[in-house]
Amino acid sequence: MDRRGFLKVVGAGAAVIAIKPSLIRQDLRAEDGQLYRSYEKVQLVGKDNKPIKASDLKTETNYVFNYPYVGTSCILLNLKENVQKGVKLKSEDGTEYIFKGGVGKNGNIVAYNAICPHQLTHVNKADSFISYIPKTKKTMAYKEGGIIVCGSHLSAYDVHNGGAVLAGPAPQPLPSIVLEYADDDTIWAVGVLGSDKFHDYFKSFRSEFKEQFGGKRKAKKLTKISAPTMLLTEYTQEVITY
Amino acid sequence: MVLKTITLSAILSLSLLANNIHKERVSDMKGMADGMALILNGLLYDYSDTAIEGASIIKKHAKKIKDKKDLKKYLPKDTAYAYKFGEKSLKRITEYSDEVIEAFKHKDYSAAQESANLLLRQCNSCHSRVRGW
Repeated sequence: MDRRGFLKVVGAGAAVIAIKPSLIRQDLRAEDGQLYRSYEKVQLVGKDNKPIKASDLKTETNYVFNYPYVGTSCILLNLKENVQKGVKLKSEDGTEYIFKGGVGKNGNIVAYNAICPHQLTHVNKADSFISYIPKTKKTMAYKEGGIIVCGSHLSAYDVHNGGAVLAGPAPQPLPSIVLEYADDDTIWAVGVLGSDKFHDYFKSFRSEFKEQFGGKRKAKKLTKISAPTMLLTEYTQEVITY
Repeated sequence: MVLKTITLSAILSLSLLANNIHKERVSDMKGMADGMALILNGLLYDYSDTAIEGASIIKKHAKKIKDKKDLKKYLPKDTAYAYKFGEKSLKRITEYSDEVIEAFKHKDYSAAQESANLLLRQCNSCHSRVRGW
C-alpha cells in the first residue's frame, strides 16, 4: 500500500468512528475481565465545569455523578483505608469477574453505580435511600460503617472490595464504575464493571424520569464529554440512612 | 386511689388506640389486596373496567394512608422508624396505579401488565421491610 492509500484507509476509519463512536466503545478492555462494558470516556467536573482534582476530594464523603447514562447516578468515594486489588466477584448468574482496585495517588478513589441490584433503589434528586455510611457512623445493615448501605431492605456493600455484598438480600455486588486517573490529578469514567440493572431500571421509574429528566428517553441518553460531580447532599433533597 | 385510676385509664386508652390503628391498617391492606385482585382479574379476562376499579381502590387507600399526619404511628411499633421508606412506597404505589389506569384506558395490555408487575413488586417490597419477611 502506498502512502496515499494508507492515509485514505486511516482517514476513512477516523471518519466512521467520528460519526458512530459506539463502533469502538464496547468491549475495548474486555481482556481485563468479564462483565466489563466500556462507555463514553467522560471527565468528572465540578459545578463550575472545571475538572475536579482527585486530591481535592474529601475523604469518606458521598459524591454523585451520572454515568453511563444521564439518568443513572453513581457514588464517588475517596476512601481512607486501602482499596483491595484483584478482588474476585460473582454476579447473580454466576459469572466471575475481577475488580482491579481504585485510582488516585493512593488508589483509594472508587465509584459505584448507585442502583441497588435487589429492588433497584437508587440515588435520585428527590431522596436517596442508598449511600455510603462513613466508618464512624452506625448502620442497621451491618456491624460497622465504611460501607454502602441500601436503606430500603438493608443490603450492605463492601466499597473496599469491588462492591461485594456484606449483608442483606442483594443478589450480587454493586457494579463499579471503572475510573482512569490522569497525571494532572483529574478523573475520568470509562466503563462499568459487573452486572448492571440498567434495563430493569429504565423500565421501572417512568414517572420519576419524567419529573427529574424530562422523560425516559432523555434519562437514557449517554453521558458525554463530562459528568458534573457534586456532593450527594447537594444533588438530592434528602438522604435517608438506616 | 385517684392516681391508680388515672394510670389504669391511660393504659386502657393507649391499648385501645393501638388496637384501632392495627384494625385500620389491616382494613387498608385488605382493601389494597382486593384492588390488586381486581387488577389481576382485569388482566386475565380482559376486563378494563375491573382493572381500573382495582387500581383506583389501591390509590384511594394509598392516599388515605399518605394523608395521615404521622405515618410512624400507623406502622407497627418495631418498624415505625422506617416511615420514610413507607412514604416512598406509597408514592410508588400511586404512580404504578396511575400507570395501570392509563394503560387500560389506552387498551395497551402489555404496558398494563408491566405496570401491574411493578405495582405488585412495590407491595412486596414494603411488606418485606415493614412486616419483616
